[in-house]
Amino acid sequence: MKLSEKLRAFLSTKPKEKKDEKNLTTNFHKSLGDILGTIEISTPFGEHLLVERSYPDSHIHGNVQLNLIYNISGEIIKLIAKCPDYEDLDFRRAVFIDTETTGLAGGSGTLAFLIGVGFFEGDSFKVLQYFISDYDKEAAALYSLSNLLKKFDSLVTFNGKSYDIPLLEARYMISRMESPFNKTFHLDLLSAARRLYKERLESVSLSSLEQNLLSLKREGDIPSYEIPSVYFRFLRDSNPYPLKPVFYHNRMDILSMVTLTISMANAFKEPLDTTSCKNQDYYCLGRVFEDMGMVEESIECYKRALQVQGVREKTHAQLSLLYKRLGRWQEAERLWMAMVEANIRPDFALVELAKYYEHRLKDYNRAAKAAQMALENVYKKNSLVGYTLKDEIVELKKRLERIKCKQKKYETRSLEDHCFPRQESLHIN
Amino acid sequence: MNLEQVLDQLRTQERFYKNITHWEVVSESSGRYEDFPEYLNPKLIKALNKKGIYRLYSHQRRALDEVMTGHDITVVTPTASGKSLCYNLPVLNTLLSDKDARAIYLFPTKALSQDQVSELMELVDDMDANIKTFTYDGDTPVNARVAIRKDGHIVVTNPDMLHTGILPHHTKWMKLFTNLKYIVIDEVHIYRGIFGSHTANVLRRLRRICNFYGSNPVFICCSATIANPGELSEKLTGKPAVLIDENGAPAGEKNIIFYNPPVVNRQLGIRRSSLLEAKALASKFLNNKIQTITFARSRLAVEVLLTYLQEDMKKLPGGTNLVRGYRGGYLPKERREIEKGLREGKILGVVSTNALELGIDIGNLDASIITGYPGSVASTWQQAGRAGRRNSVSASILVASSSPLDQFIINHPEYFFDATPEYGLINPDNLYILVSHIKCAAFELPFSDGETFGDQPINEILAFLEDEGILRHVGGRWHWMAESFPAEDISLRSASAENFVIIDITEGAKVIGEVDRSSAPMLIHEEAIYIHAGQQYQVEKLDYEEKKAYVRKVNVDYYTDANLAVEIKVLDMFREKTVANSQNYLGEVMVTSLATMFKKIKFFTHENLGFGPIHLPPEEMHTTAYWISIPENTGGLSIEEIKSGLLGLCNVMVNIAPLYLMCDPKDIRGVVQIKSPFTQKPTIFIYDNFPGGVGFAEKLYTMEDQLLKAARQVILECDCEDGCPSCVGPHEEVGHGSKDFALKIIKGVLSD
Repeated sequence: MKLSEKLRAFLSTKPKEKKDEKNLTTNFHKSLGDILGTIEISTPFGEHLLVERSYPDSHIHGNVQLNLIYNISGEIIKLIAKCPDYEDLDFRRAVFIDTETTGLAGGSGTLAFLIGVGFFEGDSFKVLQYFISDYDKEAAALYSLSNLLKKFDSLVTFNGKSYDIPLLEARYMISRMESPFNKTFHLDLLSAARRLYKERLESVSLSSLEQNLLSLKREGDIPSYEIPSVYFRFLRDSNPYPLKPVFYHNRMDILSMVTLTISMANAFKEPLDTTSCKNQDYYCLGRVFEDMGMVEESIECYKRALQVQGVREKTHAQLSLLYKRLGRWQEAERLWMAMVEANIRPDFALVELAKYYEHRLKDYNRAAKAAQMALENVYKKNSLVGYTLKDEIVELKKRLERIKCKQKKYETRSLEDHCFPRQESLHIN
Repeated sequence: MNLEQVLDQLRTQERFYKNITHWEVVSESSGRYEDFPEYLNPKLIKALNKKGIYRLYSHQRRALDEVMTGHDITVVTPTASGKSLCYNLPVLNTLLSDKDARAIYLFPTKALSQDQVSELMELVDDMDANIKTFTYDGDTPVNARVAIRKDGHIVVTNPDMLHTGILPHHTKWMKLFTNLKYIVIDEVHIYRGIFGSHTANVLRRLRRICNFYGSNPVFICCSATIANPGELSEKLTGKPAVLIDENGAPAGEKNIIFYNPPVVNRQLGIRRSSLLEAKALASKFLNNKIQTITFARSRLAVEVLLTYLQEDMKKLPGGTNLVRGYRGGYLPKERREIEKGLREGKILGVVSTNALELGIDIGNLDASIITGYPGSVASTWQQAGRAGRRNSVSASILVASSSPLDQFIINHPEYFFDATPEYGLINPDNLYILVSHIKCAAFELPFSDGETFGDQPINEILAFLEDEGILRHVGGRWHWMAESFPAEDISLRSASAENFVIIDITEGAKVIGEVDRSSAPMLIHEEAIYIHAGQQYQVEKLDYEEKKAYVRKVNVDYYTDANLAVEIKVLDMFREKTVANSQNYLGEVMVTSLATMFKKIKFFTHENLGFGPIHLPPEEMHTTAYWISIPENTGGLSIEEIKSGLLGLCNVMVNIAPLYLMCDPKDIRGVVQIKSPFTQKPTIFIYDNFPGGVGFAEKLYTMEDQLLKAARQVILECDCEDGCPSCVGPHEEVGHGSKDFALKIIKGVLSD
């Protein structure tokens, strides 16, 4: 038995009848330019195809004008990136990059067959799409891309830090070419969007963001997971028509990155007065402001989120801890009291109150009372959830014991002084 | 009593000595030493001094010298001979002077790699050098991975991780591959059969990637004693290596005792349980405070033995904690604690599966008891090697079970002590395995026209894969053209990724085990009684498409036995020769097996309680086979007699072939044809039970009349009257008189 016969007999997974697929190939190649708008580019590594589109920078994509991006100040970019260094990122010197690939699993066998690059030039926004029409055209396309990137010092991507850029770097390495991605800034909009919208939106995928933030509806788009098979089919039959939606998809992704950036900038700029930000987002905004040391803005946002479904509990806790950290004790105390009253994480609030009374005010009566209530609360929770919160109980008992010990010591000194002024409000329903 | 005194008792007490079939005393040997070479880094010497090492064993020095001159090596030394220094010395010496140099250490299991890393780290700490060693396996946290890729000087991993985690992402490991100087492969003898054939291909891929990044690493392999360590490591790495097999480590006197439990039922050939005998022997040692390791063949047996021994220890101070169990499934922390306890002598006894056979550091114990022949000479020596100090007496006792292989070994100690140990066999060019890895390799880097894979020309395979729509041939290169990630679908540990999962639905649904595809029709057809960890289950539903069997706990007094109709068709003959009066062949076959019906058989009485049909499609397997045909009139036997004799002979041959092949008895199968369509004569086929074959049949073909002679010995020396499971098989299966007919056939063939 010959090797080729064996292979076919034992290892083939192909349905046996279908054999003449190759005959389907007709001469589509000439029309590639007409259908996809590609032009051929020559490089020392051979030819590759390119699609060039130019939009006026006043182009509106999803209710937002592209050139509004120029208005974003360094202060705001810092917040979007959640990193002080990004103040100097200049969107005129940045490229927006998005790739379409042959598989989502990654690994060195995955090819980025379409690399879309968007950038501002004069009064227009240009989108260049480097198309690798077959494997042997890759080096040429990478070479051209590398030349283009020399003009820019920043990258903007959506999930590029963990997907597009490492994948392209691998492609450069396999082609034995130097990677052009060693740039000063790389703004990954996915992590920025996740920070901002994860509480409100179920998904922070680009299409979800487009629908929810930009009220954008794509027409003639293709779902991402179908893209690899469309490309493989093109390699087999050279029919360019099914590729059209892929090129469109890639262009839309790039335009959306621009307007998403603007939308997020608005949220940071006018948090209380914008359409880019609502409800649960205020908690997220508060967190970014807090982490970036912008306390007043943070408090304003948290206050907005205090009564918002879904983030109510964590906003209360977060804001009270911020007050505590800032030494704004009265505001903190008021918030904890309110939490107990409204039954918002009362055990957390009671423990914080107990700590506050014990360590700050040295008012052991009130501290003991708060700790006692916290303990009762945990017991009650136990009977509700049906399992034992053992650690918490041990912890609380220890606290209570310590407070009582101190209480005894100072008993003689101050007896009636600090009775619990708002006792009534502190009972648990 | 000390060990010598206990051994004296074994020699004199009838309870024991009448069961001893052989007592070998390996006299003590003094070590052969060499000084540190001048080129060895003073920091390294200082660190070694700190560990009390002032000179090297001769094999360590030789390994160091060979590697430092750029030669690949294969080191063969017994347990506890300072093997890890053979690779740690050259690697560390290089890393001390070259900060960019990198090394990969491959171990077959995770537990082993952890143990080696801690030993290596100690040495590195003592040198006060900036050499970073990391384990990279499935447990490595994602955030640590980036640092390992960039800064790890020594990356400790296993072939599976190399296969799915490292090679397909080689660009992220550029620094490692560009500077790779050494690849250390420890426990080379484990890489045999399917696993070895896969690993050889993973290493072909590794060398291809190294070549891309311009590195050409030296391979350092270490193996236990097998017949062909050099050949195995060369097949594995694809490179010739210098063989270093003279052990320079000293060893104390060693007693190796073969012990056969007494026969309790002669007719059925049943002996007293090896487990109970092992327990009696282990108790004797332990009660005399002699540190003892007891090996058992299954996890269940470990637990049973452990329970018995702990019961016995209750009266000693320290009690049940003196004896511990050790096996897969114990948590890493617990294992570390047991290893430490053994090293420090706080734990007196341990009962283990072969998990402790490999190079995990538990120090050296006084005695080892091996319950049941571990399946190979190499494993037996490894397990025996767990007992043995440099300068005092030690003892190892092999307690045989009643399986044919055990009985053969225990009655033929010369096979164990004199004959060459088994061959580690692999077949990197197994078509199924080869094609799988060519896919992975194409994913990693496109193939160029005319490129070979290892030493294999692969143009036809590439063309086939293009035809399958997986590769695209353009511009003189073959590119991966599929969405899938090929490495993920290929398991290195089994021939196909197609195991059947067994799900216990007694309460909820719990996966309790797996059965490979070829055994599924026999073991988990509907209504079959499936026994797992001592518990009976009945198969309620077999979902053949989804490869799932749903079982429920039952308690019945019978087991089931399926009839399997096996047909074998010769596809291709590679070689043919005449051996005495038989004709021997090697070739490719198609095995079609069909489970037809099953019987319910009552425990103990073996009454047939009824039967039922099995409705499953036939299984086809394309593999390699060895077959032997004999003249129709051999021994003047009738057709019926020939049939019965051949069936018996085939059973014996399949059962003892592992003596030479280093495989599990179920890795090969036998079929008998009275008038084979291919040879037109009575024929025994023995085939590799893996698609494509892994080299067993090939080895059997080269053995001339050795296997027949060994089979004759087994049959002649078996005490049973008319066939038993220890020789030709029970007469229900092979017919009355099989023992006699088989002997006549052998006589007719060998005419000696």
